[in-house]
Amino acid sequence: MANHGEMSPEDFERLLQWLGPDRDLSTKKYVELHARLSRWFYFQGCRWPEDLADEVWNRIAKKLPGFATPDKDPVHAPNIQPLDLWTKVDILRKKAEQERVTLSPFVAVFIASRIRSNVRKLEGAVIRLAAHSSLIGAEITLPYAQQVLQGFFDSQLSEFAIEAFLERFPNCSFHLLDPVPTLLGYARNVLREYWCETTRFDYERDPNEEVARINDTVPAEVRALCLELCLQRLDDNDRQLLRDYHKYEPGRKIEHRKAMANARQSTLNAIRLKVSRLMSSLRNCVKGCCRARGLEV
Amino acid sequence: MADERPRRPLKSLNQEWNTEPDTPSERTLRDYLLGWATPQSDAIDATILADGASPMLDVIEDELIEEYITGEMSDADRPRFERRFLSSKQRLEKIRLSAMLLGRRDVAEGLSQRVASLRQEPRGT
Repeated sequence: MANHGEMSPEDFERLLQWLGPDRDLSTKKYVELHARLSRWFYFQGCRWPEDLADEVWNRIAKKLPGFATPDKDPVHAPNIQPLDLWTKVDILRKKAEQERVTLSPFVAVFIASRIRSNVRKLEGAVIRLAAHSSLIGAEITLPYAQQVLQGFFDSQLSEFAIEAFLERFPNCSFHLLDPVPTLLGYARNVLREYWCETTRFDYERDPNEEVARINDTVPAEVRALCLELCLQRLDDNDRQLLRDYHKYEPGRKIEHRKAMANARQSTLNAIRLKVSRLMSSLRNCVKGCCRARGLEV
Repeated sequence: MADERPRRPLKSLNQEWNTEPDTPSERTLRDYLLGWATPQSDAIDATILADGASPMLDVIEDELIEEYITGEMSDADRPRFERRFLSSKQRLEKIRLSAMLLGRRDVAEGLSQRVASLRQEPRGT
């Protein structure tokens, strides 16, 4: 996978600017989004979710203005030229004139970057906005367009939209655009490369870590001991709940758990959520217990 | 990356668990975690980034792990599960601990061997 290296302090500052005008709020937003991005990679079954999240931010940072070197990454060779975006913007503006509504550059680029399919869909977006705004007498601002056109767009923002947008409007407040579609667009590219270039169980970056991953570094006796200690630390009711929840006759799991929910005057979903939270705290406890014995889980 | 799930006579999880027909459904979340293509995958992706992952994803992840350990998982889902869950150290640890809790120490102890054997399988299988 093409690696964009470490992020420089300048890159990071640009990212923060991209996320918003207030540095503190942007930092908080960055931390939150990084955690969510890592979680997203985790759910895709990736081995190094945090590293892949870093890679996404690095790539975005490289696309933000102020970087003299053009992107030579062959993976991002622009099959979609910025021109495509502006053609779409022109189509939108023409349609807006026909409909006698005003589309700001922000709104036009916002729509153009999210619709890939065809002219009819682009025009459909303008028609929808025009109808909606005339009905309630609202001005078509970016947040308004985002709200009205929710669910209307193709799945992801083209990453080239960032470059193209900034070329055309170098002094714009870029943070007006929602970062999530951009992040997702980049994240999917990184994921595609990850799946393409990583054999399922190869770990080329650090063979020692690979061995540690495959071989259980914690002896079964220690894990069993830690599990028991951590179970003992739970509240009596919670411990009983966990044990009962997992003790059922084959083929009778659902009936068993429904009966448990009834007996506790609760719902099945509430019990499932509770067990999931208990399992999570149990895992953290066992991890800490193993670490205390010098074993890394 | 994400294939269409083959049709199989499996009762909807929402029916089995008698839950409200939430959006997305539990079946969809389950398929999402296993990497099957679902019409709502894009929406789930966006939700995880915009609002954080739903707690139901954690619930369903735990239940998939349980199904794998107890052998209740279907033949169609099992390779997908192994591909997505046995490649992550964090998830391997989850499986080991759940196996101990379920009294299946044999599964916990055999996991490393399973990962090693999957490693030998040709790429793309």
